[in-house]
Amino acid sequence: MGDYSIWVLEHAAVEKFPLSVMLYGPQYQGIRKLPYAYALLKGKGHTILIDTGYDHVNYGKALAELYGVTNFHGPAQVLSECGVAPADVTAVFITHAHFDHMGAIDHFPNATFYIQQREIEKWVWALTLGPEYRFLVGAADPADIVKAVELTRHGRMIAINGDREDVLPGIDVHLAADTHTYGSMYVTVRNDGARNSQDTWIFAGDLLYTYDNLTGLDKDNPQFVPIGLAVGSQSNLIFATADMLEAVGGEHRRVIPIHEERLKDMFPSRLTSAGLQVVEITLGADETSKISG
Amino acid sequence: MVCEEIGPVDDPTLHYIVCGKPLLTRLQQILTQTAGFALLVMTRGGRLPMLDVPLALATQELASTSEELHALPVPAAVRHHFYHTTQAVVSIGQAIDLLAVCMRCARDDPARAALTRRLRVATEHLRAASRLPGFGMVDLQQACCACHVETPPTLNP
Repeated sequence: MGDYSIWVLEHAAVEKFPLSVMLYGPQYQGIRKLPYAYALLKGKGHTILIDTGYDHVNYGKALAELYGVTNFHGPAQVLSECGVAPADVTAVFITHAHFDHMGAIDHFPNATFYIQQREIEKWVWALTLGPEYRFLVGAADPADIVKAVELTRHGRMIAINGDREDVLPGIDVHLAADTHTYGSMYVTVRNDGARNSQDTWIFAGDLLYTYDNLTGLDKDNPQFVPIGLAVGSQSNLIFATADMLEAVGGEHRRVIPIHEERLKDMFPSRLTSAGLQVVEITLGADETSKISG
Repeated sequence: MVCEEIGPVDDPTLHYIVCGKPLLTRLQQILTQTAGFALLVMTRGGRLPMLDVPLALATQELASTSEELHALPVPAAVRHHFYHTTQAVVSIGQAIDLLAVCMRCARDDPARAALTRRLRVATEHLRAASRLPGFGMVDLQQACCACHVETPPTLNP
Protein backbone atom coordinates (compact mmCIF):
# COMPACT_ATOMS: atom_id res chain seq x y z
CA MET A 1 0.00 0.00 0.00
CA GLY A 2 1.20 3.49 -0.85
CA ASP A 3 1.70 6.53 1.32
CA TYR A 4 -1.26 8.39 -0.18
CA SER A 5 -4.83 7.46 -1.00
CA ILE A 6 -5.86 9.14 -4.21
CA TRP A 7 -9.27 9.89 -5.71
CA VAL A 8 -10.40 11.85 -8.75
CA LEU A 9 -13.62 13.71 -8.01
CA GLU A 10 -15.91 15.03 -10.71
CA HIS A 11 -17.66 18.29 -9.84
CA ALA A 12 -19.26 19.31 -13.15
CA ALA A 13 -19.10 18.37 -16.83
CA VAL A 14 -19.54 19.48 -20.40
CA GLU A 15 -21.61 16.69 -21.92
CA LYS A 16 -20.81 17.52 -25.54
CA PHE A 17 -17.23 18.64 -26.04
CA PRO A 18 -15.53 18.50 -29.45
CA LEU A 19 -12.90 15.81 -29.80
CA SER A 20 -10.80 18.22 -31.87
CA VAL A 21 -10.06 20.32 -28.78
CA MET A 22 -9.24 17.34 -26.61
CA LEU A 23 -6.96 15.99 -29.28
CA TYR A 24 -5.30 18.12 -31.94
CA GLY A 25 -6.44 17.19 -35.43
CA PRO A 26 -9.62 15.13 -35.66
CA GLN A 27 -12.00 17.78 -37.01
CA TYR A 28 -15.65 16.79 -37.44
CA GLN A 29 -15.05 13.48 -35.69
CA GLY A 30 -17.53 13.82 -32.93
CA ILE A 31 -17.89 14.82 -29.33
CA ARG A 32 -17.11 13.44 -25.91
CA LYS A 33 -18.08 14.18 -22.37
CA LEU A 34 -15.53 16.45 -20.67
CA PRO A 35 -15.75 16.00 -16.90
CA TYR A 36 -14.49 18.81 -14.66
CA ALA A 37 -12.62 17.22 -11.80
CA TYR A 38 -9.87 17.60 -9.24
CA ALA A 39 -7.73 15.09 -7.41
CA LEU A 40 -7.82 14.45 -3.67
CA LEU A 41 -4.84 12.92 -1.87
CA LYS A 42 -4.78 11.83 1.77
CA GLY A 43 -1.72 10.61 3.61
CA LYS A 44 1.42 11.54 5.55
CA GLY A 45 -0.71 13.86 7.69
CA HIS A 46 -1.80 15.90 4.68
CA THR A 47 -5.05 16.36 2.81
CA ILE A 48 -4.18 17.66 -0.62
CA LEU A 49 -6.04 18.83 -3.70
CA ILE A 50 -4.69 19.13 -7.19
CA ASP A 51 -6.70 22.11 -8.53
CA THR A 52 -9.91 23.43 -7.03
CA GLY A 53 -12.54 23.67 -9.76
CA TYR A 54 -14.40 26.90 -10.44
CA ASP A 55 -16.55 29.26 -8.43
CA HIS A 56 -20.12 28.52 -9.38
CA VAL A 57 -21.48 31.57 -7.60
CA ASN A 58 -19.88 33.85 -10.14
CA TYR A 59 -19.84 31.80 -13.34
CA GLY A 60 -22.29 28.99 -12.93
CA LYS A 61 -25.24 30.54 -14.66
CA ALA A 62 -23.27 31.72 -17.68
CA LEU A 63 -21.37 28.48 -18.00
CA ALA A 64 -24.50 26.41 -17.76
CA GLU A 65 -26.55 28.49 -20.19
CA LEU A 66 -23.93 29.37 -22.76
CA TYR A 67 -21.37 26.59 -22.71
CA GLY A 68 -23.25 23.56 -21.51
CA VAL A 69 -21.34 23.10 -18.25
CA THR A 70 -23.76 21.11 -16.15
CA ASN A 71 -24.22 19.42 -12.81
CA PHE A 72 -21.90 21.66 -10.79
CA HIS A 73 -21.51 20.78 -7.12
CA GLY A 74 -19.35 22.68 -4.66
CA PRO A 75 -16.32 21.35 -2.82
CA ALA A 76 -18.19 20.74 0.43
CA GLN A 77 -20.54 18.25 -1.20
CA VAL A 78 -17.98 16.71 -3.56
CA LEU A 79 -15.31 16.16 -0.89
CA SER A 80 -17.84 14.75 1.56
CA GLU A 81 -18.03 11.66 -0.67
CA CYS A 82 -14.56 10.88 0.71
CA GLY A 83 -15.25 12.05 4.24
CA VAL A 84 -13.34 15.30 3.78
CA ALA A 85 -14.44 18.89 4.43
CA PRO A 86 -12.92 21.92 2.64
CA ALA A 87 -11.45 23.07 5.96
CA ASP A 88 -9.51 19.78 6.20
CA VAL A 89 -7.52 20.56 3.05
CA THR A 90 -3.95 21.49 3.96
CA ALA A 91 -2.39 21.98 0.53
CA VAL A 92 -3.52 22.70 -3.03
CA PHE A 93 -1.39 22.40 -6.16
CA ILE A 94 -2.62 24.74 -8.91
CA THR A 95 -1.60 23.15 -12.19
CA HIS A 96 -2.35 26.36 -14.10
CA ALA A 97 -4.15 29.64 -13.59
CA HIS A 98 -7.32 29.12 -15.57
CA PHE A 99 -10.50 30.05 -13.75
CA ASP A 100 -11.83 26.48 -13.84
CA HIS A 101 -8.72 25.21 -12.04
CA MET A 102 -8.22 27.92 -9.42
CA GLY A 103 -11.58 29.69 -9.22
CA ALA A 104 -12.52 28.13 -5.88
CA ILE A 105 -9.33 28.93 -3.97
CA ASP A 106 -11.19 30.85 -1.28
CA HIS A 107 -13.16 27.74 -0.28
CA PHE A 108 -10.17 26.21 1.53
CA PRO A 109 -9.43 28.33 4.58
CA ASN A 110 -6.57 26.22 5.93
CA ALA A 111 -4.73 25.35 2.74
CA THR A 112 -1.38 26.49 1.40
CA PHE A 113 -1.40 26.88 -2.38
CA TYR A 114 1.44 26.10 -4.80
CA ILE A 115 1.71 27.57 -8.29
CA GLN A 116 4.54 28.17 -10.74
CA GLN A 117 6.13 31.65 -10.60
CA ARG A 118 6.33 31.56 -14.39
CA GLU A 119 2.57 31.11 -14.61
CA ILE A 120 2.15 34.39 -12.76
CA GLU A 121 4.92 36.35 -14.48
CA LYS A 122 4.14 35.43 -18.07
CA TRP A 123 0.44 35.88 -17.49
CA VAL A 124 1.03 39.38 -16.13
CA TRP A 125 3.20 40.06 -19.17
CA ALA A 126 0.41 38.87 -21.49
CA LEU A 127 -1.99 41.22 -19.72
CA THR A 128 0.13 44.19 -20.75
CA LEU A 129 -0.06 43.38 -24.47
CA GLY A 130 -3.52 44.79 -25.10
CA PRO A 131 -7.00 43.43 -25.76
CA GLU A 132 -6.18 42.05 -29.22
CA TYR A 133 -3.87 39.56 -27.47
CA ARG A 134 -6.53 38.33 -25.06
CA PHE A 135 -6.27 34.74 -26.30
CA LEU A 136 -2.93 34.65 -24.49
CA VAL A 137 -4.54 35.70 -21.22
CA GLY A 138 -7.36 33.17 -21.19
CA ALA A 139 -10.57 33.63 -19.26
CA ALA A 140 -9.23 35.59 -16.33
CA ASP A 141 -11.41 36.81 -13.52
CA PRO A 142 -9.85 39.71 -11.61
CA ALA A 143 -11.56 38.33 -8.51
CA ASP A 144 -9.42 35.17 -8.73
CA ILE A 145 -6.26 37.24 -8.98
CA VAL A 146 -7.31 39.36 -6.02
CA LYS A 147 -7.90 36.18 -4.01
CA ALA A 148 -4.41 35.06 -4.99
CA VAL A 149 -2.96 38.40 -3.88
CA GLU A 150 -4.63 38.01 -0.49
CA LEU A 151 -3.34 34.46 -0.09
CA THR A 152 0.16 35.55 -1.03
CA ARG A 153 0.09 38.40 1.45
CA HIS A 154 -0.77 35.92 4.18
CA GLY A 155 1.99 33.56 3.08
CA ARG A 156 -0.51 30.97 1.88
CA MET A 157 0.36 31.03 -1.80
CA ILE A 158 3.83 29.81 -2.64
CA ALA A 159 5.27 30.56 -6.07
CA ILE A 160 7.67 27.83 -7.19
CA ASN A 161 10.44 28.35 -9.72
CA GLY A 162 10.60 25.33 -12.01
CA ASP A 163 10.91 21.74 -10.83
CA ARG A 164 10.99 20.99 -7.12
CA GLU A 165 11.20 17.67 -5.30
CA ASP A 166 9.40 16.89 -2.07
CA VAL A 167 7.25 19.98 -1.92
CA LEU A 168 5.37 17.66 0.37
CA PRO A 169 6.71 14.22 1.29
CA GLY A 170 7.00 12.18 -1.91
CA ILE A 171 5.31 14.85 -4.02
CA ASP A 172 7.27 16.69 -6.72
CA VAL A 173 6.20 19.41 -9.14
CA HIS A 174 7.50 19.92 -12.67
CA LEU A 175 7.29 22.98 -14.87
CA ALA A 176 5.99 22.36 -18.38
CA ALA A 177 6.80 25.79 -19.76
CA ASP A 178 4.97 27.28 -22.74
CA THR A 179 2.52 24.44 -23.19
CA HIS A 180 -1.22 24.71 -22.44
CA THR A 181 -0.26 27.83 -20.48
CA TYR A 182 3.06 29.57 -19.91
CA GLY A 183 3.70 28.01 -16.52
CA SER A 184 1.65 24.83 -16.42
CA MET A 185 2.94 22.26 -13.99
CA TYR A 186 2.34 18.59 -13.48
CA VAL A 187 2.44 16.86 -10.12
CA THR A 188 4.28 13.61 -9.43
CA VAL A 189 3.32 11.43 -6.48
CA ARG A 190 6.03 8.90 -5.55
CA ASN A 191 3.70 6.79 -3.52
CA ASP A 192 6.37 4.55 -2.04
CA GLY A 193 8.43 7.60 -1.05
CA ALA A 194 11.47 6.22 -2.89
CA ARG A 195 13.62 8.48 -5.06
CA ASN A 196 13.49 5.88 -7.84
CA SER A 197 9.89 5.11 -7.19
CA GLN A 198 8.18 2.01 -8.51
CA ASP A 199 4.78 3.44 -7.58
CA THR A 200 4.53 6.81 -9.31
CA TRP A 201 1.35 8.64 -10.28
CA ILE A 202 1.34 11.80 -12.35
CA PHE A 203 -1.39 14.43 -12.45
CA ALA A 204 -1.16 16.15 -15.79
CA GLY A 205 -3.43 19.17 -15.31
CA ASP A 206 -4.48 20.24 -18.79
CA LEU A 207 -1.30 19.00 -20.46
CA LEU A 208 -3.48 16.05 -21.39
CA TYR A 209 -7.24 15.93 -21.79
CA THR A 210 -7.47 12.22 -22.57
CA TYR A 211 -5.41 9.04 -22.68
CA ASP A 212 -5.60 9.38 -26.46
CA ASN A 213 -3.07 12.23 -26.14
CA LEU A 214 -0.58 9.51 -25.15
CA THR A 215 -1.32 7.17 -28.04
CA GLY A 216 -3.33 8.90 -30.75
CA LEU A 217 -6.49 7.28 -32.08
CA ASP A 218 -4.71 4.59 -34.08
CA LYS A 219 -3.67 2.12 -31.39
CA ASP A 220 -1.76 0.02 -33.93
CA ASN A 221 0.46 2.97 -34.75
CA PRO A 222 0.70 4.97 -31.53
CA GLN A 223 2.01 8.52 -31.33
CA PHE A 224 1.84 11.47 -28.97
CA VAL A 225 -0.95 13.82 -30.04
CA PRO A 226 -1.15 17.12 -28.16
CA ILE A 227 -4.33 18.75 -26.92
CA GLY A 228 -5.88 21.30 -29.25
CA LEU A 229 -5.42 24.34 -27.06
CA ALA A 230 -2.05 25.88 -26.25
CA VAL A 231 -0.62 29.36 -25.75
CA GLY A 232 2.81 27.75 -25.96
CA SER A 233 3.66 25.16 -28.56
CA GLN A 234 2.49 21.73 -29.62
CA SER A 235 6.14 20.65 -29.54
CA ASN A 236 6.44 21.55 -25.88
CA LEU A 237 3.22 19.68 -25.12
CA ILE A 238 4.54 16.58 -26.86
CA PHE A 239 7.87 16.66 -25.01
CA ALA A 240 6.11 17.22 -21.68
CA THR A 241 3.93 14.21 -22.49
CA ALA A 242 7.01 12.12 -23.21
CA ASP A 243 8.62 13.22 -19.92
CA MET A 244 5.53 12.28 -17.94
CA LEU A 245 5.25 8.89 -19.59
CA GLU A 246 8.92 8.16 -19.03
CA ALA A 247 8.57 9.02 -15.34
CA VAL A 248 5.98 6.27 -14.89
CA GLY A 249 7.95 3.68 -16.84
CA GLY A 250 5.65 3.90 -19.85
CA GLU A 251 2.59 2.72 -17.93
CA HIS A 252 -0.10 4.92 -19.47
CA ARG A 253 -2.71 4.51 -16.76
CA ARG A 254 -0.37 6.14 -14.23
CA VAL A 255 -0.51 9.50 -16.03
CA ILE A 256 -3.88 10.87 -14.99
CA PRO A 257 -5.71 13.22 -17.40
CA ILE A 258 -8.17 14.81 -15.05
CA HIS A 259 -10.72 15.50 -17.83
CA GLU A 260 -10.75 11.85 -19.06
CA GLU A 261 -14.22 10.35 -18.79
CA ARG A 262 -12.82 6.81 -19.10
CA LEU A 263 -11.01 7.06 -15.74
CA LYS A 264 -14.20 5.59 -14.29
CA ASP A 265 -13.69 2.44 -16.38
CA MET A 266 -9.96 2.08 -15.72
CA PHE A 267 -10.14 2.39 -11.93
CA PRO A 268 -12.74 1.44 -9.32
CA SER A 269 -15.46 4.06 -9.38
CA ARG A 270 -19.02 4.85 -8.39
CA LEU A 271 -21.67 7.36 -9.37
CA THR A 272 -22.87 9.52 -6.49
CA SER A 273 -26.51 10.40 -5.90
CA ALA A 274 -25.68 13.76 -7.51
CA GLY A 275 -24.59 12.03 -10.71
CA LEU A 276 -20.87 12.67 -10.21
CA GLN A 277 -18.12 10.10 -10.59
CA VAL A 278 -15.82 9.22 -7.70
CA VAL A 279 -12.75 7.41 -9.06
CA GLU A 280 -10.46 5.62 -6.65
CA ILE A 281 -6.95 5.65 -8.08
CA THR A 282 -5.25 3.93 -5.15
CA LEU A 283 -5.74 3.33 -1.44
CA GLY A 284 -3.08 3.98 1.19
CA ALA A 285 -2.57 2.13 4.45
CA ASP A 286 -5.38 2.41 7.00
CA GLU A 287 -7.76 3.87 4.42
CA THR A 288 -11.13 2.42 3.57
CA SER A 289 -12.52 2.38 0.09
CA LYS A 290 -14.89 5.18 -0.82
CA ILE A 291 -16.22 3.14 -3.70
CA SER A 292 -17.52 0.03 -2.03
CA GLY A 293 -19.59 -0.36 1.10
CA MET B 1 -25.72 46.59 -0.70
CA VAL B 2 -28.48 44.92 -2.73
CA CYS B 3 -28.27 45.50 -6.47
CA GLU B 4 -31.35 44.78 -8.52
CA GLU B 5 -31.36 44.30 -12.25
CA ILE B 6 -33.15 47.04 -14.15
CA GLY B 7 -36.38 46.42 -16.04
CA PRO B 8 -37.18 47.11 -19.71
CA VAL B 9 -34.74 49.67 -21.15
CA ASP B 10 -35.62 53.00 -22.76
CA ASP B 11 -33.45 54.78 -25.33
CA PRO B 12 -31.29 56.83 -22.93
CA THR B 13 -30.66 53.70 -20.88
CA LEU B 14 -29.82 51.73 -23.99
CA HIS B 15 -27.40 54.48 -25.02
CA TYR B 16 -25.72 54.25 -21.62
CA ILE B 17 -25.43 50.47 -21.93
CA VAL B 18 -24.00 50.58 -25.45
CA CYS B 19 -21.46 53.29 -24.59
CA GLY B 20 -20.74 52.05 -21.10
CA LYS B 21 -20.06 48.42 -21.88
CA PRO B 22 -16.64 48.94 -23.49
CA LEU B 23 -15.69 51.24 -20.62
CA LEU B 24 -16.57 48.59 -18.07
CA THR B 25 -14.61 46.03 -20.06
CA ARG B 26 -11.61 48.36 -20.00
CA LEU B 27 -11.96 48.80 -16.24
CA GLN B 28 -12.04 45.05 -15.79
CA GLN B 29 -8.88 44.76 -17.86
CA ILE B 30 -7.15 47.48 -15.84
CA LEU B 31 -8.21 45.83 -12.59
CA THR B 32 -7.00 42.44 -13.79
CA GLN B 33 -3.67 43.98 -14.76
CA THR B 34 -3.34 45.83 -11.47
CA ALA B 35 -4.17 42.67 -9.52
CA GLY B 36 -1.62 40.79 -11.62
CA PHE B 37 1.02 43.43 -10.87
CA ALA B 38 0.15 43.17 -7.18
CA LEU B 39 0.56 39.41 -7.30
CA LEU B 40 3.96 39.83 -8.88
CA VAL B 41 5.01 42.37 -6.26
CA MET B 42 3.82 40.12 -3.44
CA THR B 43 5.49 36.97 -4.76
CA ARG B 44 8.79 38.54 -5.77
CA GLY B 45 9.03 41.51 -3.44
CA GLY B 46 11.18 44.57 -3.93
CA ARG B 47 11.40 47.02 -6.77
CA LEU B 48 10.32 45.67 -10.16
CA PRO B 49 11.50 48.00 -12.95
CA MET B 50 9.67 45.81 -15.47
CA LEU B 51 6.41 47.21 -14.08
CA ASP B 52 7.28 50.90 -14.58
CA VAL B 53 5.91 51.20 -18.09
CA PRO B 54 2.87 48.91 -17.63
CA LEU B 55 1.91 50.80 -14.46
CA ALA B 56 2.21 54.16 -16.20
CA LEU B 57 0.08 52.86 -19.06
CA ALA B 58 -2.52 51.49 -16.64
CA THR B 59 -2.69 54.88 -14.91
CA GLN B 60 -3.15 56.60 -18.26
CA GLU B 61 -5.81 54.13 -19.36
CA LEU B 62 -7.68 54.52 -16.09
CA ALA B 63 -7.69 58.30 -16.45
CA SER B 64 -9.06 58.23 -20.00
CA THR B 65 -11.67 55.60 -19.10
CA SER B 66 -12.78 57.68 -16.15
CA GLU B 67 -13.06 60.77 -18.34
CA GLU B 68 -15.22 58.95 -20.91
CA LEU B 69 -17.36 57.46 -18.18
CA HIS B 70 -18.09 60.84 -16.61
CA ALA B 71 -18.98 62.26 -20.03
CA LEU B 72 -21.85 59.77 -20.40
CA PRO B 73 -25.41 60.94 -19.77
CA VAL B 74 -26.66 58.86 -16.84
CA PRO B 75 -30.42 58.17 -16.81
CA ALA B 76 -32.06 57.43 -13.49
CA ALA B 77 -32.38 53.71 -14.21
CA VAL B 78 -28.61 53.23 -14.32
CA ARG B 79 -27.50 55.61 -11.59
CA HIS B 80 -26.81 52.67 -9.37
CA HIS B 81 -24.64 51.09 -12.06
CA PHE B 82 -22.82 54.36 -12.62
CA TYR B 83 -22.16 54.62 -8.89
CA HIS B 84 -20.50 51.20 -8.75
CA THR B 85 -18.50 51.89 -11.89
CA THR B 86 -17.16 55.23 -10.68
CA GLN B 87 -16.36 53.74 -7.27
CA ALA B 88 -14.41 51.02 -9.04
CA VAL B 89 -12.40 53.71 -10.84
CA VAL B 90 -11.55 55.32 -7.50
CA SER B 91 -10.51 52.03 -5.91
CA ILE B 92 -8.39 50.95 -8.85
CA GLY B 93 -6.63 54.33 -8.81
CA GLN B 94 -5.88 53.93 -5.11
CA ALA B 95 -4.62 50.40 -5.73
CA ILE B 96 -2.24 51.62 -8.44
CA ASP B 97 -0.89 54.30 -6.08
CA LEU B 98 -0.42 51.71 -3.35
CA LEU B 99 1.43 49.40 -5.73
CA ALA B 100 4.19 51.97 -6.04
CA VAL B 101 4.40 52.11 -2.25
CA CYS B 102 4.42 48.32 -1.89
CA MET B 103 7.40 47.98 -4.22
CA ARG B 104 9.46 49.91 -1.67
CA CYS B 105 8.02 48.57 1.57
CA ALA B 106 8.62 45.55 3.78
CA ARG B 107 6.51 42.42 3.47
CA ASP B 108 4.62 43.23 6.68
CA ASP B 109 3.95 46.87 5.83
CA PRO B 110 0.29 47.93 6.24
CA ALA B 111 0.37 49.25 2.66
CA ARG B 112 0.15 45.65 1.45
CA ALA B 113 -3.04 45.07 3.40
CA ALA B 114 -4.43 48.36 2.11
CA LEU B 115 -3.59 47.38 -1.46
CA THR B 116 -5.40 44.07 -1.07
CA ARG B 117 -8.44 45.82 0.38
CA ARG B 118 -8.60 48.32 -2.50
CA LEU B 119 -8.40 45.50 -5.04
CA ARG B 120 -11.18 43.61 -3.35
CA VAL B 121 -13.40 46.70 -3.13
CA ALA B 122 -12.82 47.42 -6.82
CA THR B 123 -13.70 43.82 -7.65
CA GLU B 124 -16.92 44.02 -5.68
CA HIS B 125 -17.96 47.25 -7.39
CA LEU B 126 -17.23 45.83 -10.84
CA ARG B 127 -19.10 42.65 -10.04
CA ALA B 128 -22.10 44.73 -8.96
CA ALA B 129 -21.81 46.79 -12.15
CA SER B 130 -21.74 43.64 -14.28
CA ARG B 131 -25.34 42.90 -13.30
CA LEU B 132 -26.64 45.31 -15.92
CA PRO B 133 -27.88 43.52 -19.09
CA GLY B 134 -25.12 43.19 -21.65
CA PHE B 135 -22.31 43.47 -19.13
CA GLY B 136 -20.12 40.62 -17.90
CA MET B 137 -17.24 40.16 -15.51
CA VAL B 138 -15.21 37.57 -17.34
CA ASP B 139 -14.50 37.08 -21.04
CA LEU B 140 -15.53 33.45 -20.99
CA GLN B 141 -15.12 33.30 -24.75
CA GLN B 142 -11.43 32.74 -24.03
CA ALA B 143 -12.15 29.78 -21.77
CA CYS B 144 -11.28 26.18 -22.61
CA CYS B 145 -14.89 25.18 -22.21
CA ALA B 146 -15.97 27.79 -24.77
CA CYS B 147 -14.16 26.21 -27.70
CA HIS B 148 -17.24 24.38 -28.89
CA VAL B 149 -19.55 27.38 -29.12
CA GLU B 150 -19.94 28.51 -32.73
CA THR B 151 -21.17 32.06 -32.17
CA PRO B 152 -19.75 33.87 -29.17
CA PRO B 153 -22.75 34.96 -27.17
CA THR B 154 -23.17 38.06 -25.06
CA LEU B 155 -22.21 37.27 -21.51
CA ASN B 156 -23.73 38.40 -18.30
CA PRO B 157 -22.79 36.02 -15.51
